[in-house]
Amino acid sequence: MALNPVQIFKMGAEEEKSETARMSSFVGAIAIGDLVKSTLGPKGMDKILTASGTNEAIKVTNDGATILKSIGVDNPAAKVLVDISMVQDDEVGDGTTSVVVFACELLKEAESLVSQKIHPQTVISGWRKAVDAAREALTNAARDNGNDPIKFKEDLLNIARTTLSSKILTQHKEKFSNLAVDAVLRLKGSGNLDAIQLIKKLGGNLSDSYLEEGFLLDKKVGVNQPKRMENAKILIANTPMDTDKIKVFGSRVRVDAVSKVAQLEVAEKEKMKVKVDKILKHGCNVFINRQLIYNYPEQLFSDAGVMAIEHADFDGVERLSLVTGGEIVSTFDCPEKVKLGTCSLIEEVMIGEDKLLKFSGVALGEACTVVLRGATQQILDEAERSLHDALCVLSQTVKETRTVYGGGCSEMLMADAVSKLAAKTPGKEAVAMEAFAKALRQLPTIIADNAGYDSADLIAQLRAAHTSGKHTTGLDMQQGRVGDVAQLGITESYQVKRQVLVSGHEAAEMILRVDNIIKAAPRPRQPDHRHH
Amino acid sequence: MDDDWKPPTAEEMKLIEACRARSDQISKLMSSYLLKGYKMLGSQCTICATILLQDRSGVKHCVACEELQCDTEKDNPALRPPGAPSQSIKDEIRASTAASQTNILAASASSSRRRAGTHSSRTNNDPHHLRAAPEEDGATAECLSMSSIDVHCWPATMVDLGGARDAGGDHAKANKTSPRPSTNSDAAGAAPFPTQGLPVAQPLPSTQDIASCVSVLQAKICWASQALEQNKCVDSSTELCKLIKAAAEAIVAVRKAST
Repeated sequence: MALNPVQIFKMGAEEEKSETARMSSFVGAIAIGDLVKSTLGPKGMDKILTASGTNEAIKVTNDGATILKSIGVDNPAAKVLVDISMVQDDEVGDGTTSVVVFACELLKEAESLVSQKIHPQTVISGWRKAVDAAREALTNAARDNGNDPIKFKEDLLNIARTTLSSKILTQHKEKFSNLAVDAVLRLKGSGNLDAIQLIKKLGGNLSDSYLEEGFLLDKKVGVNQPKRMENAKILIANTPMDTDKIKVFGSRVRVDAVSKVAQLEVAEKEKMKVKVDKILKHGCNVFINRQLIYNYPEQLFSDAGVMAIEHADFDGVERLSLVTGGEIVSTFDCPEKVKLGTCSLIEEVMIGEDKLLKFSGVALGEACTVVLRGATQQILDEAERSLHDALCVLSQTVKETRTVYGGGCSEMLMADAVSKLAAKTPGKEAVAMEAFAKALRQLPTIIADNAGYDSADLIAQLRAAHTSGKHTTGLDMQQGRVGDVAQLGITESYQVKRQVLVSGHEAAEMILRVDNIIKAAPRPRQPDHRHH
Repeated sequence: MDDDWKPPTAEEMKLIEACRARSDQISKLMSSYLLKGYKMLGSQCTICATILLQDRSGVKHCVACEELQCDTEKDNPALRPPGAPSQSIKDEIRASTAASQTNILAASASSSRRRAGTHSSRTNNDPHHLRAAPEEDGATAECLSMSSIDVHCWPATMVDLGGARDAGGDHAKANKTSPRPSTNSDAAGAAPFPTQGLPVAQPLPSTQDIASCVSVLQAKICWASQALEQNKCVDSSTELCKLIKAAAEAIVAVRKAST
């Protein structure tokens, strides 16, 4: 009686124990790593993602986080990897592919260690020591040029070039890296990327893109209104300027005579006129509304010589208020309390086939706009993503000014330090640490493989160079051999590398610690179509 | 605890490497499916414990069961077939069949002697006479079983098969002592046997002999089919099938001879 199996779980819940749980989580996570492996490095390939369903929008991308966001995953271990990639994207912007590949390589090593009958806790403690050693080596190898503006700008240019080298913008690397560095330096250390606006205009090609000082708004002025305004005082509002929309659903107005309807309309017109008068009392000569402005108030504005712009949408309005320094208002009863934005010149410009409004000499001198031109929508989207990544990395570097060498150099450096520590450590942990070093060395191996060169030979040469102390040797993918990355100018931000190391290790450790998977009984709900 | 861990031996390393290669192949296949829009589920295949993929229409798909190339089957822990026997086991089998071969010859010679003695006037001064098996049916059964091991392990050449079949067939012939249309293989099969003149032409067999012979053959067929059911090796299964065929043909021939 007492030996009968007792049902602990609810109907439909499942439990996987020990070996199968661990092995199943490994294979799932490793498949995710294999997915993005081929996009790593300067000769990495892009992937085409097709959306399912009615909108057949196509994305062509090299960015790991973008690819992983579109993959349908229910497996818990794979979800962990997708999450770290997104966190890397949010925190630093670049290195999203590297972190997933590093975690996946660590898990491959862990799989073979566990099959050699080493306990996972031993592996974890060995890895912890290895991570500390690697981090220390990386910190010691970082250089700081924050005090020398010329050298720092050189660093930033190198970093921008390295970041863009694996993306589609690599053909115009020089131009775009200069562009990105200019844009970020204008921010003067504030790190607020909202001040940099990216506008995409179809047409032309990538080399026609440029950086514009000031602020571009993709809207048009109302009819009969001045198209050019100097010394503008801008009132930014978020208020309904339309009268006959029924705000309360199902409200009815009952009148007993047709003349009363006419009276209602006249009353509404009066209300609008009063509102416009209140606005004009603010003394502004530009009025920007988030919602639409109907024709009657528009006419009133043009009579008063005020430039009225409608449908600026949330994003535009917030950026405008940041850039011009004005507040966003919804009521107009107290003109003296409202802060108006200022700008020295507003005029209409033409880009491609579209007309845009240009705000120059804005209050926030840091603001600027990058206009991207490209042949197809996919190119434009990918260019925007890549440039956004580069800008994120650069703004992080401006805050944390240390840099390290790229091109596989810092990975080999860390692997070297970990191997040296493993040689001194007794016991099984040394095997785990050696496996950590091997996983670190896989990253440059994959970069060389993607470029089609003989990775075994190159990595052996690199390893020998690092062991003998030449810590600036890395891979030169243009020539297909090892070279001095300090001269080649392949630089990365210290923040990015450190984040890759730490996040990758944490994700791998978390999956390694899994020994039991318990799946709850599914409650009836809508399936997760977030990714499709 | 650190003391009793030893680094893996070369064979274990090979096994580990092979498993790793197999799971690398699986994850490559899985990643290509993920890119095509399949969804990775949290559940596993019931047969081989690989993670299942589900396509947009809800059909579940296991990459290992359906697509993995067969040469890595040997590393799949769930499906590992038994390997070939090692050389020492093969030698043992060969030794036992050689011993059984002489026994067959002895028994067949003796029983043919006996039969011949019963039905013909031929006298036997065969020294093998004394080595007659205690009971005829047992002898025939034992010899036939020896010959079936013979069939099991020897390479399947026609001569040997013919020899084996004729050992059984000759046995039947010896029992029934009837003229069988002697084919070349009969002569060839009979020639290596060191019996002194297996009777080629003999008087008609008795019904009792035929019945016992047929029952022995049927028992042999039953035994062989049971062994076939449990056998997992392809070659030995083929040999068992050939044995069954030979025994069946022998029954047919016996019955025909009796009419």
